[in-house]
Amino acid sequence: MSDAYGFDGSRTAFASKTAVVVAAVAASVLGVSAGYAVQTLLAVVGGVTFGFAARDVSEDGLRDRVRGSSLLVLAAVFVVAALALEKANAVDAVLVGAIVATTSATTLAALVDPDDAIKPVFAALSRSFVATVLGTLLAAALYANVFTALVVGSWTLFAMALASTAMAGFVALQVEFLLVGLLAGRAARAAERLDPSRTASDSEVVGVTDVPKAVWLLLAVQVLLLAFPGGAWPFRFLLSLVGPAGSIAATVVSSVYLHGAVLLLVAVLALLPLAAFVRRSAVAVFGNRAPKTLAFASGGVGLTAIVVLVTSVPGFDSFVTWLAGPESTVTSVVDAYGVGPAVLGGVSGVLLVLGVGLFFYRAAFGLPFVPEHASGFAFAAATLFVAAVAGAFGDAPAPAVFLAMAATLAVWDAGEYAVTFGSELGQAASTRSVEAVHVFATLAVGALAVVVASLATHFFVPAMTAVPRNRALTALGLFAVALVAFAYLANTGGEDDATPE
Amino acid sequence: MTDVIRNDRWQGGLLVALVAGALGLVGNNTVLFMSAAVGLVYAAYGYATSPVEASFAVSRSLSDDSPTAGQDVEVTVTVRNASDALVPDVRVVDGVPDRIGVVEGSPRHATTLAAGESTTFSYTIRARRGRHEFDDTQVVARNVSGDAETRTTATATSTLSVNADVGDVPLAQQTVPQTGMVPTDVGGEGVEFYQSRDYHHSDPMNRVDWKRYARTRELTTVEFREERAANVVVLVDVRDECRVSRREDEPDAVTLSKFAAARLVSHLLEEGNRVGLAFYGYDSEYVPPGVGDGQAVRIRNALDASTESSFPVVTDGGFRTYDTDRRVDWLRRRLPDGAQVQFVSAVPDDEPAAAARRLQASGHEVRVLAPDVTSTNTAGSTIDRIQWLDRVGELREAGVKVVAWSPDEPLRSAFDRARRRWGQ
Repeated sequence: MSDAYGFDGSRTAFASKTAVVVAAVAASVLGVSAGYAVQTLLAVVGGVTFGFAARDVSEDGLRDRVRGSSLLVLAAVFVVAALALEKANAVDAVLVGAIVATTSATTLAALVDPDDAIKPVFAALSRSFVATVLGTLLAAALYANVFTALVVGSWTLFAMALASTAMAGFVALQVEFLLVGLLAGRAARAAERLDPSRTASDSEVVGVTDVPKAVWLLLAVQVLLLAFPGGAWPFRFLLSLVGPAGSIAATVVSSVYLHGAVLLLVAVLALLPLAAFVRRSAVAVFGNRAPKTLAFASGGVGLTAIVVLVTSVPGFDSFVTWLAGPESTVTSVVDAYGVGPAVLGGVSGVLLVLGVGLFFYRAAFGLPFVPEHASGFAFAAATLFVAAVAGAFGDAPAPAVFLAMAATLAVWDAGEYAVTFGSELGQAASTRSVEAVHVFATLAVGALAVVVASLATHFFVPAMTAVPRNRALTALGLFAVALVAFAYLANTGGEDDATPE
Repeated sequence: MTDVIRNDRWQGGLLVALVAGALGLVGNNTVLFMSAAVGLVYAAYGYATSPVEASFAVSRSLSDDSPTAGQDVEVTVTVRNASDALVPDVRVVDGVPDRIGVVEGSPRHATTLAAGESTTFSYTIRARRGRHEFDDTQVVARNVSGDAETRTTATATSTLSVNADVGDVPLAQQTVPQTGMVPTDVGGEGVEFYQSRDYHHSDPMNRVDWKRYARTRELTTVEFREERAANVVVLVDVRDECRVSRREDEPDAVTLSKFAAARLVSHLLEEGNRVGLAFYGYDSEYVPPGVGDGQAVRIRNALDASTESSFPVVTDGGFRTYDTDRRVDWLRRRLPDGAQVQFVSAVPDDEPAAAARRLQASGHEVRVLAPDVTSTNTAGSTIDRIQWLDRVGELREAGVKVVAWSPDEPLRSAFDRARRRWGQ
């Protein structure tokens, strides 16, 4: 054959979509029949969402990446919900996880070449993971009232210090005015620098070194005096010299309202240099890759903002525990950690697991003895097999397990067929009718296999007698040898014997 | 030629059966053990389906096998299942020539064919200059389970010949005293009436206008427009500035110029002119004017040996400048007296205009054939096009006749249009 029979196309639509439908239906039937209707539904939706997210983050457009990152985090939320609702049983967790993996891998492989998607998906996962981890810390701090406690505690201590002696207020007032003086110039310069269309001129500001050393010395002496018991005596003496005016001055310098107003001014003046610093740091870290990085992180940032806003509504945690019920795992988690940290932490964990899963996926298909061809569908088939095994060890009925087992082979077959067909003919050629013949034949054989296995189970299993374990294993070994020998003999002379006529 | 290839597609069924059966036994799970039956059924499916023994007859027809360059041609391919068996999966890949692009439809097709049934599909290609042979058609037949395929190479000979004749090239009237095809303003031997003059005793008798003598009793001699040969040097602009193209998949201006120069040389030699070749660029090359097949071979070799442009640059910016005077001086020292110049240049900057004006001032008639490699695809290329149009306009204002040639049209059309405009 000439090279003309190679074509750089993608998978064909009909067979790859059929693979997705088969995987989703088989996984749903297995999960629902095992008694996990809601979890299965959430897992399937989460898996399919992940596939679409992977496609979108692989695109070059900024809007596509933002949508992909958001869908990625949404998929993680679905998975967190599915895992949160399961019964904390290892087999059930494997079943739900395998359903997620199956549907996500099949959808991803149907929409885009997994090799092209891994890098951008990993980038989006890592950026969103950082955002959700930071969001978890923020939510935890809010849940534990850390910020409120810090502000209220600091203010209480400050007010106590002011009330102790007038000199403390006097020293604090000097420090506050010094801060105002130092920050005023910086705030003006920061306001100027925040404008990107400014001219490249520089302006002078008052720095710490510009303050006369005598001022610092005077302040240090006053602080030292305050630190020693009875150190405020000279200040009290000076106030007593001026009579009633001294009492008024003492009241004024100890006033929390005056200090509050000046500190508010300090905070406002500090805000602009802080904003300029944050922007400068962001530019230094991200450079001109900022749009791409931010697009990949937008899912995690968006979720953090939503969760922080929603959980700040009073009574929201109680509402969630009421919904979940007193016996639920959700209730105990919410009681211990709060809704915000629990959701964001759970999503961070799922994003981490997805990233690790991607790493292992890539590593597995990088091994020399694992074929790379149609790797996405092969991975999906393997995870569906794991789901079928988990279902068999769970409470899934036999026909559902047989269906999942048949779907394992059907998903791989349809997917591999779509990839090969697409690579040979591309998407411009009309292939639907030919695909339909092959795919329906495979599905028909699958249906026949399910019927055969069900009938065999129905008629033969009751007739089975218990045998010792060692005899069973011996029988298995002999069966395996017979099967391999049969396969070898069946293939003799039939493999790769290209015979030109 | 037919190849039969089998794959291990359904060996996966055996693998599933083995693993599921083993896990069922080890885990004491009856359902899992029985699920091995599913894998075995799939494995049996693979063994039960046999390879298709198919043979195919392929025919191909073109809506026009001698189109002009740029014309769309519909290709219709018919594949017939010449075997007695149903083939559920037939994939056809037609052998489109490498240099021909498909503009509509697909040269690849998939279908199901019963015994004796045929399928027809068509696609549209855009003709390019030259002669293009279609490759063999590849037909792949798979059985329903997909574990065996038959690959057939079917020969369906088709050739697309795109006419590249340049037609009549309107040369300047600067000629040499040899009989040729260039009409001149000199009376003498020829076929077209030019003028009557008083009889001279050395004039041949067959030139005397006897009808006029009978009418007026005055002897006059008829003169015809003399057709002479020209001394033509085809000058090809091969500077780096000309290595621009409209799109990445199109030839650049140097390639187009060399193509046009080859056609021009061939045509001018056939008409009995003395033709030479010179390169205008960093690697200067000169073939003095001559006649005959040997000269054609020398010029063709010089064109083939010059640097090939592999990486055309899509025009989206400005061009750098170079010393014009040095090149023109070099050329003037070599051009024979009375030689006219056919300058093939994309006019990517002001240098060709300056060179043409200096050559005209040196007594050589210059005509410019300018391949148009500009476009309006981007803002940058639109600006380039505006500049190019200005440069061509300035050339014309300077008295240099310019033939603007778009790669989308045949050279003949460009010359026909120019001849009509110039009244030649």
